[in-house]
Amino acid sequence: FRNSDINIDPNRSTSVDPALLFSGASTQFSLLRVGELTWPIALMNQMWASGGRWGLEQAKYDQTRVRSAWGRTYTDVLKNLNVAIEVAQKAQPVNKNAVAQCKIMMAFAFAQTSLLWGDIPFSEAATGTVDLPKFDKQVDVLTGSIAMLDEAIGLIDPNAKGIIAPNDLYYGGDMTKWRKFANSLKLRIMFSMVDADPTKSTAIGQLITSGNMIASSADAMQFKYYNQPGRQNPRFSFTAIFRGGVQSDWYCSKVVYNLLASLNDPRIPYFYQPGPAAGANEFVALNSVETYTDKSALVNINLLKPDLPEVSFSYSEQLLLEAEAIARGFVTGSSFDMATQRFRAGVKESLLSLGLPTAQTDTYVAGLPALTAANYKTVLAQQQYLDLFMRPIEGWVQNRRSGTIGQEIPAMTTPAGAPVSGLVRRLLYRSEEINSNPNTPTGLAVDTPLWFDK
Amino acid sequence: QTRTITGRVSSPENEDMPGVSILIKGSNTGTVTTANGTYQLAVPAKSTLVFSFIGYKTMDVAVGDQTTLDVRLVADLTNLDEVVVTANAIVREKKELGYAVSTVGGSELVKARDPNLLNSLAGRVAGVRITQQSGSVGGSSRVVIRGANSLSSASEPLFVVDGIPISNSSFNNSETDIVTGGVDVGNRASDLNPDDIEAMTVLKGAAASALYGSRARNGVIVVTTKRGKVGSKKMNITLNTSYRTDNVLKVPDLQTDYAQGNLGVYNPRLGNGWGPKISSITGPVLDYKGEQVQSLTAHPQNWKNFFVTGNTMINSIAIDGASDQGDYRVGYTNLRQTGTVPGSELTRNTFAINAGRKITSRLLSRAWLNYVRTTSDGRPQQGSNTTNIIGTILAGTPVTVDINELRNNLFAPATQSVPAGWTGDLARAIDLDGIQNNPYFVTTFNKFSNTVDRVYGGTSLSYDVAPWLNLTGRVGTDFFTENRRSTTRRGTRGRLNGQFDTNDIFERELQTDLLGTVTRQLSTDWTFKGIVGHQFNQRTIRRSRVLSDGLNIDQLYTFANAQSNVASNFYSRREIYGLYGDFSFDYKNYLFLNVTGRNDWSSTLPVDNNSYFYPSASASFVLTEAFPNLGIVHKDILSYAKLRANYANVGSDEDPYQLAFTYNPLTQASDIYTFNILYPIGGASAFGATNVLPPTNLRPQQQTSYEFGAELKFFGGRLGLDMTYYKTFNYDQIISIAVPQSTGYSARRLNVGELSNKGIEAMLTVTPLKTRSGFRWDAALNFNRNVNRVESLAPGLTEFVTTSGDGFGIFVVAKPGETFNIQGVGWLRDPNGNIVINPSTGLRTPGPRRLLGSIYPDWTMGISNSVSYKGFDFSFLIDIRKGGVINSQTVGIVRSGGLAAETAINNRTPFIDPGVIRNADGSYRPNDVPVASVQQYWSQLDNSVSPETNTFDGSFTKLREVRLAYNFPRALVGKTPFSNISLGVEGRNLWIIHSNVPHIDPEANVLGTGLIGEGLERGSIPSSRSIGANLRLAF
Repeated sequence: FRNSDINIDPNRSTSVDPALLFSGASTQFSLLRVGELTWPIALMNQMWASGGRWGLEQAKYDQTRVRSAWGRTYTDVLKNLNVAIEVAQKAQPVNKNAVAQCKIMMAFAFAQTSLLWGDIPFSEAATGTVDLPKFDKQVDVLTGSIAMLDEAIGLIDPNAKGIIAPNDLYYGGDMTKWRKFANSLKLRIMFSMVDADPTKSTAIGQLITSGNMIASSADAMQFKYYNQPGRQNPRFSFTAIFRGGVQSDWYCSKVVYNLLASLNDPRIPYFYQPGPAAGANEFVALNSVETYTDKSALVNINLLKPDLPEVSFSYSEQLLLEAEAIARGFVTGSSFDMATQRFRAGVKESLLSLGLPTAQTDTYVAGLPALTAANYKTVLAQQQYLDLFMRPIEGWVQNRRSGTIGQEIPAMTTPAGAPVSGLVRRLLYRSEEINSNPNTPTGLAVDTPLWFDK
Repeated sequence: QTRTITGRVSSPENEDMPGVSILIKGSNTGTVTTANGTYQLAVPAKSTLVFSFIGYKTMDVAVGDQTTLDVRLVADLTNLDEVVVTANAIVREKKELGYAVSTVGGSELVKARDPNLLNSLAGRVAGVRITQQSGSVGGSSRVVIRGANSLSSASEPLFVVDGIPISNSSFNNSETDIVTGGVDVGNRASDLNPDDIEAMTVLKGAAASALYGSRARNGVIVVTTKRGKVGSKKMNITLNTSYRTDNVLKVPDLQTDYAQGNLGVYNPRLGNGWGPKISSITGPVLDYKGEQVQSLTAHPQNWKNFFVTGNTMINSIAIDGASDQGDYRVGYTNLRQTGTVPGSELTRNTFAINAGRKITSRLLSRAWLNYVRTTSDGRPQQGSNTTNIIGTILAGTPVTVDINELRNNLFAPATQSVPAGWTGDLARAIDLDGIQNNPYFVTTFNKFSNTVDRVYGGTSLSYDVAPWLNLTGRVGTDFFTENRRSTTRRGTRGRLNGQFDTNDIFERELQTDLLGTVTRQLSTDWTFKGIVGHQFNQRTIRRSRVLSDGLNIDQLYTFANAQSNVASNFYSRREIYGLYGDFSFDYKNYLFLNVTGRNDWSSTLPVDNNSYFYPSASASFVLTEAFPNLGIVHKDILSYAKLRANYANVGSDEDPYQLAFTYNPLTQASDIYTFNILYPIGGASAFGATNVLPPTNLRPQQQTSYEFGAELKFFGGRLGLDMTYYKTFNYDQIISIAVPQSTGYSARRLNVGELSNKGIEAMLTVTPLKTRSGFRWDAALNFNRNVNRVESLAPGLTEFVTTSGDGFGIFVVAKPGETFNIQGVGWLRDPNGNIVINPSTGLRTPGPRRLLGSIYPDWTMGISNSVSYKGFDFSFLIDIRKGGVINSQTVGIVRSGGLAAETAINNRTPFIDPGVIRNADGSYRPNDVPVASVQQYWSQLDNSVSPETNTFDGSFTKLREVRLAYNFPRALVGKTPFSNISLGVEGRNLWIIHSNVPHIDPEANVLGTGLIGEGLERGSIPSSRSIGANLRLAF
């Protein structure tokens, strides 16, 4: 068989364009965010209610429903981005923008994985060269992700081409927007760290001062879905496949509903729809162990539309983070007036993105209290949480960092029958990793806080 | 002075005996009997005739003054001259062989007819375990000989027909496909037509088969097809017709009192049995259709009413003949089968031709060809899919739903949940929420259909260069195309827009052999036989698949009518060149030595390491012939004794294309909910780098085996014992070992791991009763105990998941020191093994994952008895399996859904689950807290919490087969145009005499034949009890 091509695989290639790896990695990453990492997390952290449907009982903190996200993030997202970087670096000339785009996505994925699981393989991960990657401390993962973003920003040349449409499914190859997202992502990661590492406040201030972050809804980082079979938002597919298009799985959680009600928030009918047997404006919320009835309110089907994008970073999120930075005095020359202005702009953006009429939005925003030293922690955190309503991964981080243990906003209590006494604060490592990697930390309970969660 | 003598030779059962050779003693003159068993011969006076036939005692009969001489032969139970077809279609006397073989004659296979030939072997051969995977029409059967030999692939034996290997592939082996609802597509060995088979020989060990190449390490099933036979007429015609019916053997035992609901509150939106007592519901309520009714009725027979009686008709005709110039046989068989699931059917047409001709006295040519066309429709899906699973739908059908009503009303009424804006037909659901489909909608419209066109055959030329030297060349091929389509109609609950899956498969195997055979008498005592050969083998697989989604027009399954088509294709080819030698020495016809060697060059291994040599040696010693006057044991007591031993080593290659680092074009991104995102999305296609790190310095895999055996016959063959002890070591296995996913890869391919099988096979045959009047009772018992053990894995690796039934909450794992085990989350236990109860709920707590039991039995046994008398032949076969476990999700589903009978006992009064409660100081006290509710108790026993309670001891005792055959007496047949008429009645899989598994047949396995792993059941189609009759007519 010497000099024979019989064992050359006709089904697979031995070379590849990094753009093709990038589109695969980003699609897989988005699918996990909007699918497998949505339902169990939204239920476990009481953002949505299960009503006893699907065995996704909130009180169980059932992590068997997050089965493939760990593995796929490493093997199908991070590894492929890493390989894409290697290929792009071997190109003549080096495709620096492609390297930057891949690094930004890698930083995003590493930070997200760490904010879910805590200490994770980072420095030795996803390369195939280290057999048993060590678990880096969360602080090192997040710091490393920021450094990775800095590297990427340094490589970006807005006048050159990197990975472009159609393979760049987020920005179509617009490197200016990638740079904005990279800076905004740095901001988000730093905010997740600042309670545990107060020195990050300075960095946050500098970042905001130098700008070049997401500055309009057109800059938002989002993955588009389409109303075509197989290209629909999986949240739509879930209802379409299991329920014949009738939303009867995701119920209105008392925690969120009570917060909305206390704020007299016009988003209630946008977030929810009344149960089939309920009156026109009757929203019956469920707590984390209640079984649904015909009257139980459900997550609004309009939020499960087939062509809704998966939002990775929104303009409203940016504005509210800026408001927080200013209110907490991280930015030099800041004032509560300035903070209030960003805060209101952020809330307004949040409501408009849901489709609320401008007039109603303006009225609500005008009625929001001005931020003060006394109220900003609560008022801001409430709006930040509501802003992330359909983004359980970020919403969970927001809730955990919104106050010290037990003082989170909004407040939640441990569901009756939960396997631990506290709230769920982390995902547990998957058996695939535990069984094959002796470096996997052990003995962690679901309610053990992560490093950042102070 | 010669005169003519005529007569008839018959078997002990008084059947005609054609082909018996008759020789005038002391001369070279003789004849053979005709198809009717008659003969005519001119004999001198006072002569003696010698009647001989293989398998019967040679009889000397003196011719007195009579002109007719009828002889009834006596079976020679010592089988001294039994011949066996071994490797490369070489015929050997059984006594020469240094290894265990078992032969099942073709006539055995057609008495109790099963459309899948393999099932007819179940329980007959020690060391061969046949497991029918489901009751689906055309369903598959798994064959394992002497235990699993591989950590990475199912250890299926090689099938060889007339010297040419044929495919037994299944192409059903994606775990995802199975979990989300694959159909049992059958295994291709079921294309073999029992009517065309002369004999099947099972070569159990590697020594038996070194000459077939590496694939023989899992054992070989050698099939010899029928050829033309000499008869009185120029041609013999045989007609055979048989009919059988199938009914489901076992369905879940359900409660009949409780309606659907939650915690005793009626709710028609649910598909379960956790509502109130049906009798307690009064006044207007909504039923599952959304219609107001005054009361509800229990329909306890839904399962039984759903399944129908399946019918199988098999008709065959064969024409054959032979002369001293050549022989021919042409056969045609038609099989039509309908299954127990409504709308499932299978048709198989088989054409077989086999012809040989002497071109010159030294040159013999032969050609044989089989064409098989199998079509099937409506094979039901199994597994966990919510749209198409009959088992799952039925297992969730509330008692208040009348299945007969569903049969007559396929579509949803306006009162049932109809999605906003839906127009067109919509499946009626079994629940008001509209989640689970009407099973009849599924069986009527959502069909899996396939067509297999298959040709296998070959041609050979054999030339006698000299009396001691023969050269034979042989070319053979087996190829088939299979076209599959499965449809999901628009309006199917859960797949509202409809979809279809088109799958085209082509597989071809080509083999050439060139061999020379030398036979030399070395001295008066020593005979030598040597074979040297060359073999080329090539295997090609081509597949293409299109998943089409979103149909614009209802029930039009064309690509252009789909909103999305995702196509994928696959091609692979592998080749092996082999050189082999087989050398036998025969000393005084009682000591036989055999050594073989083979060197392969495989295309799939690294070019610098693709050659491997493997040898074998075996010896056979016939004690009773070496020492005819064994001083102590009288010949009448110990009639025959043979000892045998062998050693073999087999090297083997691996799958093609595993050596390079590759990038795969992706068709989809997925998560565990399988809402796949299809590429291209937004115009973007995608690639992914391989998730399996390719190997470096790969070596061939190795297997070494030893076998010792003894064959003893006592009292002239009335009592026989054949025992074998064997040991097999498999090492340097090429497997993909899981690496931490954080490396970016899921596995690395390398040579690693050792797996052993040690076992005993025993076959005991007894003839307790035999009378001169022809009454005869034979009993046989075969026994196999195989101890499979994972000796080692890669350093540092504590377990290896061979098959992940992750969606089922279970895994099949290999752990050093253990065999293959089912593993899953177990209940939390105290140090004494008591289940720990949560004091606030009275319920169990899931604990760590643990081994739940071996997937393989401790031992298996088959007991057969047959009684014959004057043309009547009655027999039955009992099949016993001891040990091993089965996890049944169906049991879990009917229990957690409150439908199983046991969920209704004691009016659902909460009870105390036996266990312990942990005290504050860490000690334990007996549980005294009743379960919060019976519903919560049973719901928790679902597999998604812990598979432990749904994992059962898989032991069973089954009445596998009963049959009664009658051979019409000659006197009666003589008045008909036929030469032979026989009639048989048979029953298969009649009775589960003993089982520890509730609700289901313990033999089911949803994983099919392609994956390692048994003992997982989910929504499997219940197995069938079959009863049939067979009529055979010969002209």
